[in-house]
Amino acid sequence: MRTIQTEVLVIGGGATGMGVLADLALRGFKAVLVEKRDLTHGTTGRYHGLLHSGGRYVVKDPKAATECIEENVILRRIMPHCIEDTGGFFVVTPWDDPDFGDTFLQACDDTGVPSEEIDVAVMLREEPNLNAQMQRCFRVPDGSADSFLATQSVAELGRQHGAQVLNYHEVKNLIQDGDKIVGALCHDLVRDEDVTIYADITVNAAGAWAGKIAGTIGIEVNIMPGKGTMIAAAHRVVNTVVNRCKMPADGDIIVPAHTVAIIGTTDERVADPEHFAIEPWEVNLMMEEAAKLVPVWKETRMLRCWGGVRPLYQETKVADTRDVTRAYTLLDHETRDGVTGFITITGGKWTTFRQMAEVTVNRVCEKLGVERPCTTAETPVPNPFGHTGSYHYLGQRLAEVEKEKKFDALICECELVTRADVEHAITKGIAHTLDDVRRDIRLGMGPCQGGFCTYRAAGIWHELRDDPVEVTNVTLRDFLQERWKGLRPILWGQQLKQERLDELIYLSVLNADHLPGETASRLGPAMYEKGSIEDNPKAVT
Amino acid sequence: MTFNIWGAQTDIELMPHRPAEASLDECIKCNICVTACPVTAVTDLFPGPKYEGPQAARFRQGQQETPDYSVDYCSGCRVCNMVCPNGVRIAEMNARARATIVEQDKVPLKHKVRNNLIARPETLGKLGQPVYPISNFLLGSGFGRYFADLFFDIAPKAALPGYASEKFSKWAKKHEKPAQAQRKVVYFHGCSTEYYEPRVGKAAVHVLEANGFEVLIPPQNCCGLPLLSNGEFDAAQKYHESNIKKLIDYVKQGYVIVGTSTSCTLTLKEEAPELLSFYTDDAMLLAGNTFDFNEFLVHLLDAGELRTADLRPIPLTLAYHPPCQYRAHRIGFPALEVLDLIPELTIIKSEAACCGVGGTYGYKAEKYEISMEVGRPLFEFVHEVNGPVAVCDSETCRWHIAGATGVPNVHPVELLAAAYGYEVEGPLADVLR
Amino acid sequence: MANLKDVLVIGAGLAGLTAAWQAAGPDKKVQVLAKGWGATHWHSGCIDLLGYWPLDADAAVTNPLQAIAQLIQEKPQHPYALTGLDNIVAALSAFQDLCAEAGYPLEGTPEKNWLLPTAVGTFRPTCLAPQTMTAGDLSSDAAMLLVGFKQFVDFYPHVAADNLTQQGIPAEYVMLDLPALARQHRLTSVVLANMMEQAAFRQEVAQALKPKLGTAARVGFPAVLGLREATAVWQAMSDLLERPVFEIPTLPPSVAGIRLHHILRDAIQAEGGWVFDGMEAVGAEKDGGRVTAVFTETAARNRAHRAENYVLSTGGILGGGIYASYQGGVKEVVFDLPVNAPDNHLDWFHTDFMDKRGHPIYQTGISVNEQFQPVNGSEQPLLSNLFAAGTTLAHCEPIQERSFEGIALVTGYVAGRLAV
Repeated sequence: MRTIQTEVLVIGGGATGMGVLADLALRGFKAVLVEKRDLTHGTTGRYHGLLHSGGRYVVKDPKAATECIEENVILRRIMPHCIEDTGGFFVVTPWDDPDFGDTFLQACDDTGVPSEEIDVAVMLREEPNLNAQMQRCFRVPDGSADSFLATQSVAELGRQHGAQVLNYHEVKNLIQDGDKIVGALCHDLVRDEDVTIYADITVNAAGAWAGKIAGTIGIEVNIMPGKGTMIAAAHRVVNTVVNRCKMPADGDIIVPAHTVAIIGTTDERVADPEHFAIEPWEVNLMMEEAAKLVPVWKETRMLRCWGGVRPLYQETKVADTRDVTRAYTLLDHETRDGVTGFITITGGKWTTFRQMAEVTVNRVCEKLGVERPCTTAETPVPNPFGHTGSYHYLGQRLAEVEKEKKFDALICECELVTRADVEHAITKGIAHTLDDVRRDIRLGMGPCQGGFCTYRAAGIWHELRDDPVEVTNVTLRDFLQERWKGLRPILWGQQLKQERLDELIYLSVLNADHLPGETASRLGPAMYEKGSIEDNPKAVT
Repeated sequence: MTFNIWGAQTDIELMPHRPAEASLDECIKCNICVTACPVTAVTDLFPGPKYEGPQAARFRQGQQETPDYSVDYCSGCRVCNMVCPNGVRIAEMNARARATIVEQDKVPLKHKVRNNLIARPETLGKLGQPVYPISNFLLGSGFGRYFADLFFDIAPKAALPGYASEKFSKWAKKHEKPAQAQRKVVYFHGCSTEYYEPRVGKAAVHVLEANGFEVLIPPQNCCGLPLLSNGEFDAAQKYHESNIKKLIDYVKQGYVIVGTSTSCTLTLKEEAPELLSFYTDDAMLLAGNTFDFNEFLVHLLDAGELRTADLRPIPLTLAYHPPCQYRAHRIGFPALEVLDLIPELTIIKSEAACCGVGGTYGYKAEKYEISMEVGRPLFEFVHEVNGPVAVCDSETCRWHIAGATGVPNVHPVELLAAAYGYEVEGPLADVLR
Repeated sequence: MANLKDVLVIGAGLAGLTAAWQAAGPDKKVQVLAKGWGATHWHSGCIDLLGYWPLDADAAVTNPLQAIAQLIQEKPQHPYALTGLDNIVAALSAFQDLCAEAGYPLEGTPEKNWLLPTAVGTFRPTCLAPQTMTAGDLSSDAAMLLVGFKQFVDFYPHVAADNLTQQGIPAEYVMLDLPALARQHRLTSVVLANMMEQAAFRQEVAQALKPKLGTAARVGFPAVLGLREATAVWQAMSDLLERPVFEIPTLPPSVAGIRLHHILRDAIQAEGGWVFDGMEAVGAEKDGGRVTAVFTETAARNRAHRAENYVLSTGGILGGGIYASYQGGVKEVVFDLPVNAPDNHLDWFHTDFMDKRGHPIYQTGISVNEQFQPVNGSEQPLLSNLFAAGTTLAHCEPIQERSFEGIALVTGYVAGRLAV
């Protein structure tokens, strides 16, 4: 069995864990991060990508609002390449109370979130697809963040300072030595073998899975997984983040992210962060609510649907998960549970990940009895896949392809992913599946959802990896199934037609359902539990 | 839903309009358009309709700098629209993307001036026609073309039309109206008929009169299409508004507009409102009551109102090239249906995608070679059919095909006028003599 | 009524073009209206008649005609049950004659499926295959060399070769990096096919390949060996390499499919028929149990088209003849004919993308009688002069069955003949 010795072990490859890892590395700690699947497998990779201005919380959770705007400013400075400066609107729709706008403005002032009311006509000039019946509109500095790229970039920062990132390493249990946690026993899913990692301090940043991690040594951390369902429209029906100006509720925000626009979200308690359903009512609700903001939404092609699980921590029970604070929680299990060498950081939002990391690493320093100042607020974050130093903008890839006339080398035509990008992600990164490649470079994330690029990427994969062909085969099938996972709940109209073309390609033309080897691997996707005949008790066939 | 051919329809229901870009959602990435695009087949400078259309459109944001200039190499032929099994309006997306480039002042000054020159046939006509002997001499001389190339990048070998000695509208004023017309119709002659080929207009008037119409020819402007296809949307809108003003009262009185230029009628019907997002009630009313000439004749034919009994035979075998604008009209090949009625006339339809000229595209020095390559299969076809003339509905295509093949080109209406027994002018007259 | 066509065909996929070809003749005016080009451009360019039956069988059907006889027993509403075996044999044979006359022979019989290699190296059952593909026959274990082009992103011979080798067909691969291709910014299958029609390029390919041929008894290319001149290109490559050469279908657009599209179009036009593309049928006028007009959408208005008889061949979900909207139900788009679709979205799909039973939504379509007239629930014809053909028909799963072209060709053949 492999054994790794380090100073700090971080569990969880989402924004928080990666932030902690990089912060540790920058402060000179030897640190290792383990993630059960690929980076951003959890909530970080499944949210709508909002860089909060804080506007959403100014009324309900002023503390969170202030944290958001502070971090918003910092992230724009240190990692602009992960951010699109879309700006944000808070709009009062015909269904909302116009007076709430005054409350909102006042609360923005109180919390330090910059805001201004703009004319509805100005709003419509900038965003002609918005409902022309809006009553009021306020502008705030919301943005759109690429949480995949951000996590990869922060990982790169950590690596540059000596940190180690191990994906597909699932924690089986923490290792306890008396009152002290000395590390964790992990399972390497790729090699299918166990790995022991010893550390002076273990940081539990497993998000919605944090309770499970703590539970392996009998510590109760009460995480209420709050599922949020989101749907992406196939193109940017809006270019500005659009929020309903009212108390936060289901389906009240549309975020333009890269080439799509995402409506979010619902908020439902689920028992298990890994296994949950996307319910038809959630899809319908998102469609209806989105149409209130953007009337053409229902005629717009839906690209994909997914669910993410918010890691909301609570000490006491509250029925409606939305009333739990979004502000994060740091649990020192030494003072809380009498167990040393173990802390849990949970809750929070993507926007505040850096601050959460800072607070966490401060505590690590304290526990190790050293004083090392945090520098993450001033340290630029590198981009392992391209440019740094300026905001991402929508036309960036188009401009890059145009500039070098790389038209022939497009593997994923929808998202303008070139052969060089794919080769880089397969050989230089830590991808173990095509889905990992997707997260790195947006392969297969456009309208055809892998219809054309899955075969191409599998071809390149096979060329570069030298795996037995059965591995390539199952990699291809896993990716098709993973794309199918997010399509099934929203398959109608144009996207259904697209899916049928994808079937024609993979069944009729390629006969890929008769590839040698396994039909699915252990690295393949876990399906949502609603959406098919098998889940429908009244099924007709 | 059926059209009443005898009068304008003034209660047109205004449909909700979505910009062409919204149709990108229909694209299933099948690349059928790429197999059909005649431009991408001959040049690497244009990466293809899917790329520039529904694909690139997802990366364009009006308020940001246009990232791709290769969209300017779209000739606007609309083969992509025609073959797309899902109704993506690729050519219109490209036209609007090009307009953004123009709006953002990203076109080199020399080309901007050039484009504004060649996209204003009305101005050129007004300037050049009155002094036609001089203008024709200059246009025909190597010297004049040398300077046009030097100063404006106008391809020295591109075929330019010659000015007519008499404007069509002047002839029309002198033309004696039939004594007993049952109905009236408005004729939109367009710039080419007015300044360069009045013979087409004369044939059109004859054909309409042969079918019992009195032909009204009100003052009119350039339709603005050349400006639209060069991305000069503001200037195009001025022309369009002026045409609406000049024509709308006729429509309101119950007359429909017919035109022999497939591009002018297309502009009035759809291109101007759609590309400019100019959906006023009058614009839509005019659109709904404007007809391509052959389309109008087929409506007459459908209604059993087209005079077909006494058509004289024309014993010729001719190549016919349906111009690209028909694809945008989406009315099929009405000229085929009309010419099919003429005894002993054999029309062989070209399967070539495009003649290459793309309106003003082929006049541009940087695109001339592309336009000739695009047209090559058509030119070969015209030579193969080996008729004394070739047939095409669109003026710029006729000039381009004639220039490239040496075979004179005529409008279908000229054949029909001849079949009705009218005297025709120009190349067809020479053939029938 | 003036300007009345004999037959109006809606849709220009394989079914529509076949129907028009069968219906057209010197005294029969046939017009095809099509929104755009269709499934011929997506599929393999072979005629799949029946590849898997029952659907979840692991082994491919060896004798499609025999398997269809069994299928007809089990699914009496299946389009093949309505055409009957004789029509299947006749349609295939007529199409083979047409293609042979066009100098592009399709090889095979309805009593045997070929097993041909795919671009991932699986064994694909198909009934009729162009001569340009049949040397890939996997009933022979002759060693093969598969050829890819570095700049062509739609074919990966390495995967195909390794999977074939794994399944007992010795296969090597080579990825060519030719100077002529390095100059291209965009290399599509059609661009490559056009280049293949130039002798100089073929020479360049052959020169690069000769040192790599090794023990290969045959050489496989992606299906790009010429567009209009495929047979000649294929022959020339075989001669240059001095061994059999074959094509392997790959991602759309399908060059081999486009060849069939050309052959049928030419055949229709040779019979005086018209194919009008870019015209979307959006509705119809019905009177007295008959169709009296079909409307197409044009700039600024709709246009009516009238004919004695009409053939509906607009395809299914993929072709666009059947549209499933958000909460709007499933509709046939031109005549608003009744379609049988599961009401509940949950009943549309199985859990697995590649579930061999096929997703039920894709069996949605039009029910017809043996005259291929759309019928209501009690089997009564709805419109006496309307015939439906191709994948717009219900009670079949053309992709899972691997019967996509077979159903299109055979029902198009029958409907076209019934419509005159």
